[in-house]
Amino acid sequence: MRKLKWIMFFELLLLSSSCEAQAHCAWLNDATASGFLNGPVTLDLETAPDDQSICMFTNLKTAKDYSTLRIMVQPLKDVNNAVASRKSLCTSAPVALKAIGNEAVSCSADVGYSRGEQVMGRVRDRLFIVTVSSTIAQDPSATRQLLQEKARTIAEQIAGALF
Amino acid sequence: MKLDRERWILAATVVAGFLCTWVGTPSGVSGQEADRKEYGDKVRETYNFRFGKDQPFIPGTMQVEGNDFVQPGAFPDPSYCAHCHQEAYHQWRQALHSNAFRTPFYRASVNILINTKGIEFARHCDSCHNPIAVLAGGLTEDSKVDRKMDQNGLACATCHSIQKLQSIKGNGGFVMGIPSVMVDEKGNRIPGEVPYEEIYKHPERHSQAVMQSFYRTPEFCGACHKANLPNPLNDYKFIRAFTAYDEWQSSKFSRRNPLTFYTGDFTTCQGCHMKRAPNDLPDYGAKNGTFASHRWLAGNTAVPFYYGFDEQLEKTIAFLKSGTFLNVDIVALKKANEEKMIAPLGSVPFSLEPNNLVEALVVIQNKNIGHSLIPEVRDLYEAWVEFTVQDNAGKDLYHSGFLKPDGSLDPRAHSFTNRPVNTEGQFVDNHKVWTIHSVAYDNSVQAGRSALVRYQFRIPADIKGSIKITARVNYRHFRQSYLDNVFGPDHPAYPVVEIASRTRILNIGNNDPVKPDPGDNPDWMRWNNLGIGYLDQLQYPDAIQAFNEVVKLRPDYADGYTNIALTEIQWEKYGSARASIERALALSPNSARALYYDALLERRAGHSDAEIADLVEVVRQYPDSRDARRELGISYYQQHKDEEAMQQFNELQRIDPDDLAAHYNLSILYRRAGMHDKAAEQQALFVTKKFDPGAPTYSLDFLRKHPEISTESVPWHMHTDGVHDMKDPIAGAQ
Repeated sequence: MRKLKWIMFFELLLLSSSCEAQAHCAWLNDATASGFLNGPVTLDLETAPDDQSICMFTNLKTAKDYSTLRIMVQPLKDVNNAVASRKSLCTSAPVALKAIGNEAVSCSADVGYSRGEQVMGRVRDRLFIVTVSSTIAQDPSATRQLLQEKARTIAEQIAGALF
Repeated sequence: MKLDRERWILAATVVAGFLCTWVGTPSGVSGQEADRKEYGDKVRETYNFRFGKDQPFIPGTMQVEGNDFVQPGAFPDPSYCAHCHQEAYHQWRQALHSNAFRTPFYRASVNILINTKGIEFARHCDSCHNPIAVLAGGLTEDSKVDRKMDQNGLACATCHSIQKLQSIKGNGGFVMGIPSVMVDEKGNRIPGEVPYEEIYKHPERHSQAVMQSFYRTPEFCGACHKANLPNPLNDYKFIRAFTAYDEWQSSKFSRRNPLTFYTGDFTTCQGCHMKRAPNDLPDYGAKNGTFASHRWLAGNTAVPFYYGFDEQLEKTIAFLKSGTFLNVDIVALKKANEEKMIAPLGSVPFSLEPNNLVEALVVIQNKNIGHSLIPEVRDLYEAWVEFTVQDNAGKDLYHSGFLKPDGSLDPRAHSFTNRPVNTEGQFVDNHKVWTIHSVAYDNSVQAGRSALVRYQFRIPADIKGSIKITARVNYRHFRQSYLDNVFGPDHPAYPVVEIASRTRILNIGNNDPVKPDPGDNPDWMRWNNLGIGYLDQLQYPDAIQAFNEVVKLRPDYADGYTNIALTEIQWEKYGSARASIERALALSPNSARALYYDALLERRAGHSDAEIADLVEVVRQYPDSRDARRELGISYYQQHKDEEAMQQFNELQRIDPDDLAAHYNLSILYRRAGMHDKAAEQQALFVTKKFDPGAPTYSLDFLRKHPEISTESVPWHMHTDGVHDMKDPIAGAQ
């Protein structure tokens, strides 16, 4: 049993020494996401139907108060209407954006008490949707305008990585 | 036992947690340098040192004071500078420098490098496109660097923190300092931002911190506007990528080259690209109501078009169309089966008849660009000649250089471009420069030179009245196929700008001489440019004939005789060259240009003392002439004057550190002098930079697959009508 404890201990040490070698998002690194979310982030990588790849960065203050950055990238079989058909995800009227890949739009992405802003666009045959949201009431770093700016800036970075 | 295990787990977790967070814990040592070291140590833990522990920025050339990584936050955000420099900020935001990294046109290419070879190789490109990210240690896998600097490309504090220039090698050939906006009373740089009040109190200290006299020199621009592809990048050998700096140095504007065809006033890069103009917004950097442009207007219409920077786009187009850079001259006609050329067109009478088969000679003179047309990444840009012949009703009788409905260019257009190729003999698309092994052809026009483009068309048998012929030089940023690669085929049409053009109306029947247009060159210069065009196409008898017309019109023009002489030298007619150069020297005994060619003739005749005397005089007049230094070095070498030869080749390396003759000769001279280390170094440089004799194989492969380009690669070639009817030309390479 004593031997087992030592093995466990060294395993944990090994784990700790490789703690930096964690999964990473292909389009945005943790440090940049942290900068946008104003604090340390955790990253969850997900896949979803239609080959969607998702990076979800979360800056968790409390179980109720947190901000998130969600990046979804999806290969397209048909580029026509790729963005237009996703406008139903908007909770405000979409506004066309320039210089973020092809036919990008910006709109709100509110869910319950979470305020969110998103940018959806396309680079060649890949669709991307960037959503920045916060559940923190009265958060001065997550006003509607700041969320819009962040979503736009991040979307430009994502488009840049996809070119 | 269970409790025991939990205790162990707890203890181990604490240790693990400590190890995880320890990296970011401040050491407690205060001071900027300690912070930087701590930051550097943290970066080093995971940084990819593929190119050596002591060379973190290779394959780029950049160096930094203190030789360590720099925290990205050490560079003040441009918005900090904007407080006092509103005009500068406004212009910079729309300019290429601020968008040097983020544009899709750059990312599409560099992403391929990152995804195929690895992000560490991108240090080569980002040394100039995103130096803050490189210095921060951000170009490594799983980087911990916040990449918000990507938005700003070359920020204010990038250029304004450069403390020194390296030997003019390019690829980021500068030495970065730690950004400071103030110096103290002793002149020591104070790192980081300071309150604006401090700057208001001591503006001179601010200037001292952010301005250096060399910022106004072409060498400053040359740190990035000169590039090579080094072995660590391509696993092959040194290949010249582009060098706008060397092109400028060889142009009349540098006044460092005695061999230019024309002379001009000294003008730096900044003289054209940073012209002073009245500022609209308040800026403490303005002097007497004017501000040195931070738009760096040049040829890039694509970036302002993409970002919607209408002001920048409008000014860029105006810059390109300003009418002084190029001269387009429909200089001559030749009717089939008639020996005599009708030239200069417009100055001599002639007649045209229906059904004539006519050859039109168009000269495109790179008149006032301080570098080639097109400079730098010419595989991506598109400048071409559009030539049309129309009848009275405006119907095209002949059209070369048209755009197809899909936006792509007529594959047989005369285009001022090149075709780099890889080991498969394929065009290096998407600017994958690390795969370049050869260049199938390069059709650019060097500063001050002229390209001769020939078109052949038939006048219809039923024509009446007149025909209108037009030659224009169009420019598009970027090549259509690259735009398609970046965006997919469904992008908007990118701007096509007509840089210069000339139209002439030709009567069917008799044509009398007509008054020249205000922008036309005088006739002697038209002949001269035609001669230059012939010379570059290796048509020596025609070149001499054209230059003879020059001296007929201007018998006092010494350079006219020198032009005849240099053509004869190239043609190996040394006897007649001797007579021509003597005529030139009789008219202008101190002409460095004539003396240079005289030296070559003296060498040929075995008159070494006269050869050296000529070259010494040329070097006295033009100490930065690379050609004169090289030839004088060779002269001394041949005379066994090793020390003098070494001195000339060292001077040559000061002017151009990549000169092959200097590497070769110095390797021998150093060895003779017992300086074995230096000899070995020069030998190694010669080996990596010398031409690869196997490389043309790849070019030939490419040319075999692309007959339309093969034709263009022949110095002398004709554009004939009917070519745009060709079925399915191979358009993949254009």
